[in-house]
Amino acid sequence: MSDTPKERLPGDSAPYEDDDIHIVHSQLLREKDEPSEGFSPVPMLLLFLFGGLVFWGGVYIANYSGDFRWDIYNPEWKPGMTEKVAEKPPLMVTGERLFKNNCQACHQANGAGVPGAFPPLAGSAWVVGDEARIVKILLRGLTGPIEVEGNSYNGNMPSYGENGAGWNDYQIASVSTFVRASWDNGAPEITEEAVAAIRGETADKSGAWSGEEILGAHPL
Amino acid sequence: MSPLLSFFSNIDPQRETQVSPKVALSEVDQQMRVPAIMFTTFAICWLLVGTFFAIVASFKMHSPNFLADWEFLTFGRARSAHLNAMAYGWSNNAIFGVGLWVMARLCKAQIRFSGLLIIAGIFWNVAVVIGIFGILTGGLTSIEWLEMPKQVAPLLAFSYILIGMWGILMFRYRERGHVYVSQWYILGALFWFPWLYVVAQTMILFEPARGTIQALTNWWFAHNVLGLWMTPMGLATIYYLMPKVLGRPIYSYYLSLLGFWSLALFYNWAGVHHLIGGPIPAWLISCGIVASVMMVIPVVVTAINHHMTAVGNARAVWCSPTLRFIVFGAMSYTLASFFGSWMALRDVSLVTHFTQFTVGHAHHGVYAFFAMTMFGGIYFMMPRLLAREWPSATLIKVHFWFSGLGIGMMIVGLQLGGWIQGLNLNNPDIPFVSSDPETMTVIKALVPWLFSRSVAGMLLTIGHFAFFVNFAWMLIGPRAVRYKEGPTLLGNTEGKGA
Repeated sequence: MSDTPKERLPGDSAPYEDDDIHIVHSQLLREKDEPSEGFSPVPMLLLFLFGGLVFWGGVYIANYSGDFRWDIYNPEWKPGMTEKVAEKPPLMVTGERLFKNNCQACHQANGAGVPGAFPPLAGSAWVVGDEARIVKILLRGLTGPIEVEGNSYNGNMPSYGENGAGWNDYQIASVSTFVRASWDNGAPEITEEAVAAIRGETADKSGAWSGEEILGAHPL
Repeated sequence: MSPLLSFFSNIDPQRETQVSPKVALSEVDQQMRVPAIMFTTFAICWLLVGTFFAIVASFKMHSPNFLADWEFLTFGRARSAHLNAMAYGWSNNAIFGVGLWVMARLCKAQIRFSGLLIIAGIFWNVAVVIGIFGILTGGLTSIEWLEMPKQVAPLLAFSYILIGMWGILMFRYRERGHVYVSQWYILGALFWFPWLYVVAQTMILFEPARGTIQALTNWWFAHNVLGLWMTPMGLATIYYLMPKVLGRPIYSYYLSLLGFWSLALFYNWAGVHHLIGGPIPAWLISCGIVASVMMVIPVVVTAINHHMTAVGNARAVWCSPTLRFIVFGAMSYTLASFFGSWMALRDVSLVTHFTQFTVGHAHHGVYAFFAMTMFGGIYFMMPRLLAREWPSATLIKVHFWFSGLGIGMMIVGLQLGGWIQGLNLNNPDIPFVSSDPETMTVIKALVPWLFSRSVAGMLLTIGHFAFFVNFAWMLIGPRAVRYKEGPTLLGNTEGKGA
C-alpha cells in the first residue's frame, strides 16, 4: 500500500500492533466492533401469530390438495365428488377436425380426390355400405392397384391403427362417420363399438391390405 | 526455522493469528482488496449495461417504433439482455464482491489463492458477455431467467464452482468461535445457487424433462434465484452492516435463528405460485401457495430484528450513506415480501397474473431490496479496501434520491397500472385492441402507466451514473481525493455513524 509510511517487507513476520493501525488505517479506528447478537426472547404474540399461520396452512392444504393425486387439477375437488368425465365431442365434430388435419391433403376438402393419384371419397361405393371396408382400411392401410368409380389407382393409403398413427376407436369411428355422412354420401354412422369389434377381428393381420383382400371379404 | 518448515507453517490454514481484532480486519481487507474491487467494478459496469437495455425495452412497450429497425434491439432480445445483464452481471458480481468480503471479514481466515478468485471472476464475466451477445444475435432460449444460449452454461457453472468453493473453504478455515447470522446466510446461499443453476440447466436444456415439469423447474429456479441466492446475500449484508455501523448488537439471536431456518424451509416451495391456473396438479400449487404465505414468518421475524436494532438511531441512519441504502433495502424486503405472499393467493393471482403487477413486484424485490442493499454494502466496503474516502457526498445523495424515488415511482406505477390491467383483462366487455379510437381498450388504459415506468427508468439511470462517477473518481481520482480526511457523511452526526 502506497500510503503506508513504514514499508513492511514481504515475509516480515513481526505482528502488527494497534499503534501501527493508527497510522495505516484511520478508518479502522473509527470502525465499531464486529457485530454481536443480543438474546431478547421471541415475543409471545409472534408465536401465536405463527401458530395461527401454520394452522391456516394445514387447513388450506387439507381442503385444496386434490388428495395429492397427479391427475387432479381442480383445487375445489373433494374425494367424494363424482369426477366429471371429460365429455367427448360428437363424432361428426371430431371427425371433421381429424379429416381436415389428416385426410384433406390427399382426398381434398370436397372429397373428390385427385384423378389418377388419390381416389375420391365423395360418392365412392367403397366408403358407403358395409362399414367394415373403411374401418379396415383405416386400421391397417391399403396398398396396390384398386379401381374406384371406374378409374384405376395404384397408391399407398397409410395406416391409422397400431402400426400407424395409433388412433383409438373413437377417432377411427369419428373420421369414418364424417366421411360416410359428408358430400351426399348419406351412410349411417359407425359406432366406437363397431370399430372395436373389427379391430378385434383383424388383430392378427400384419401389413396393409390389398384391394382384392378387402373386396373379397366385403364385395361392393 | 528451515525454509521448508516455514513454508508449511505459512500455508497451514489453521495457523494461529496473533493479532488484535482490528488488525485482523485490516489484513482481511487488504487480502480481499483486488478481487473485491474487481467484482465491484464489473458489477457497476453491468449495472450501466443492464440499465441501457432496460430503457430500450421500456420505451418499446409504449412506443413500439423506437429503434424498431435494429434487429438486435427488438423487444424480446432487449428485455432478455436486460434481465440477464442485471441478474448474472450486476447482481452476481455484487454478491461475489460484497458477499464474499462480508464472509471473509467474519471468518477472519487467512485468505489464500485470491488469484483463483480473480481468474474465476474473469471467466464468469467473459461467459456473461458471450451469453448477452448470444441473446442479442438471436440465440436466446425461451426459458425465462435462463435465456443465455446453453453453450455458456458450463463455463458459468465452472467459474461459479471456483468462486463458491473458495467461499466455502474460507468458512471451513474460519477463526474458531461463534458463527454469526450473516455467515449462515452466505454459506447456505453458496450451496443453494449451484444446486439451482445446475438442476435447472440440466432438466430444461441439456436433458429436458417432459412437459409441465420444465415449467415447474423453470419457476422453481427463477423464484429461488431471488429467494435462495439474492435474498440471503442481501440479508447477510444487512445483518452485518446494520449493527456494525450503529455499534449496537443485533436485537435477538433467537429471531435470527427462526428467520434463517424458516426461510430455508419455505422459500424453496414458493416458486410454484407463478403457475397458478396452469396445468399443474392442484396439490403442488396449493403447497406453493401455503409456502408463499408462510414466508410471512421469516419476513416478520427479520423485520422485527432489524427494526429493534436500528430503532432510536434515525439520525445516524440518515447520515450514513451505507445505512440509508441498507435501511431502505430492509424496509423494501418486508414490504415486497408481504406483497408476494398476498399475490400468491388464488383470488389475487386471478387479477395480477400476466400483468405488469408482477413486473412491478419483481423490481420491488430485486431492486428496492437487493440492489439498494448492495449499494449500501459497496458504500461501506470501498473505503476500507482502498483506504480512501468517497469523493462526493452530493453524488451519493443524488444516487440515493434518484434511485429511491425512481424505484418508488416504478413500483407504484406498475402495480397500480397492473391491477387496472388485470381487472380489464378479466372483464369480457373491454376489448384488448379496437379499430375504433373512441373505444376504451386494455392497451389504451395501460399505456400511461407504461410511460410512467420509462420516466422512472430515466431517474434510475441518473442515479446509476452518479454512482458510477463517484466510484470511478474514487478508484482513479487525483491524489487529493485519497487523503481526504474523515468519512464521507450525508449530514452532521456528532461523531456517530460511518
